[in-house]
Amino acid sequence: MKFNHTFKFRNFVVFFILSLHLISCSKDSGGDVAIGGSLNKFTIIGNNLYVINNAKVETYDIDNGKMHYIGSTTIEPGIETLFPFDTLILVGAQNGMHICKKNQDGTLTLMSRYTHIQSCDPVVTDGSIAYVTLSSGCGNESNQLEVLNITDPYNPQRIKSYAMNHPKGLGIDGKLLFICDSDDGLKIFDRTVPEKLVQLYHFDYFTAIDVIPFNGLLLVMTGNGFREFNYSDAENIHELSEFTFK
Amino acid sequence: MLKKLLLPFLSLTLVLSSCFTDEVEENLVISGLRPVYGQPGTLKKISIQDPVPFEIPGRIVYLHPLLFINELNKGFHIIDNSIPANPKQIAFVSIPFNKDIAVKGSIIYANNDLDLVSLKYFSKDSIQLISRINNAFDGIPFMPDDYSGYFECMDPSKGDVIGWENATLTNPKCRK
Repeated sequence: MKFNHTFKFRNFVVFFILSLHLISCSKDSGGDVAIGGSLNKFTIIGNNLYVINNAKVETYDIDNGKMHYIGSTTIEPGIETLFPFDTLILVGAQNGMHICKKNQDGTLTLMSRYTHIQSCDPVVTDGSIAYVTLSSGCGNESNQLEVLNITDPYNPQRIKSYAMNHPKGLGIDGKLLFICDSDDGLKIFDRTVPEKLVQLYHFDYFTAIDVIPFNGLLLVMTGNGFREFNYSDAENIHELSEFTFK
Repeated sequence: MLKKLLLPFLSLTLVLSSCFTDEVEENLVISGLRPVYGQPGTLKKISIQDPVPFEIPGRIVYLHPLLFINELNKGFHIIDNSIPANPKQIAFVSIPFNKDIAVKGSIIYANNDLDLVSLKYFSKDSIQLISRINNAFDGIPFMPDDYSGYFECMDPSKGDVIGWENATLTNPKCRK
């Protein structure tokens, strides 16, 4: 009886945490805002459009197609990607990652920089952990995934690095982490313990460049088209279709 | 200390000199690009058309059930993904020198070379330009990204640059 109670309580806690997570996810995707791949230079949070213009990230108010420039934040030359989460924007750059905070008026304030060796690197986050892939070809020979703690966005800390082949785009949803590892294919990890990512799947029969996870549907850009996977059941992630560019 | 200061200064000088103006030898005759001036026209023309083959697909954006895939410097493909087991290519939006897009509702925000534009998507046969911010991005108008070499410097008094043509240049002052 006692065991049963505990079990129920545990179920309740799991359910509660899951609900919180779902709430945060739906907020993240913003309803009618499209989800971008991790290599994108444009992103939208609410009624603000953010675009990379050389060394700057610029903010526009957008209202049904009307655009109004409201400000610019200089980061540094070599910034490449924008990833939004709640009121944070993570900026992937050739020498690191920058964390910006969205202010009330939509403009950005640079909170911190995490610098590492010269590299090409998109970044994604769930608000407390950030995942950055480093790949060779932008002035270094390093190929790895870096896992960072950004619970204090003013002071990002590296948790662990994982060796990769030549990682490009990446994505997260729930406990899953999706890594496009170029011609080594798509790798899917359980990211429950950041210090100990567990590889669940390795689809190695295609080249993977970038991903978009969306409600159990994974879109993967490949070298010659895109593939779609159903990941709604982590125990049974499977391919749905292949679209080949002709 | 001096070394510490000298190195960044030297590298900066090198970077600056290679990016902008180079010292050119007397009567250097070399092939390069020359600006074409005129009324902004074809390179600012945006249209929606039937699907076209993929060449160099780039960045992606997904607003269920539509998948947008950039075609480097040309625009973006639209895929109807209502049935993920059977995605269908339905249209191509032609935007010269486009690389980036973002989508909210039925509005697509995109770069058209150095301009930022917003478009309303009605259907696979209908799209409408809502607004355009000229020169929202810094850069050389309509210069291909992968071009590297000499070009004839732009002269704003001659009008807007609407493209580039191959030319034989004498003592060009600009280089990319």
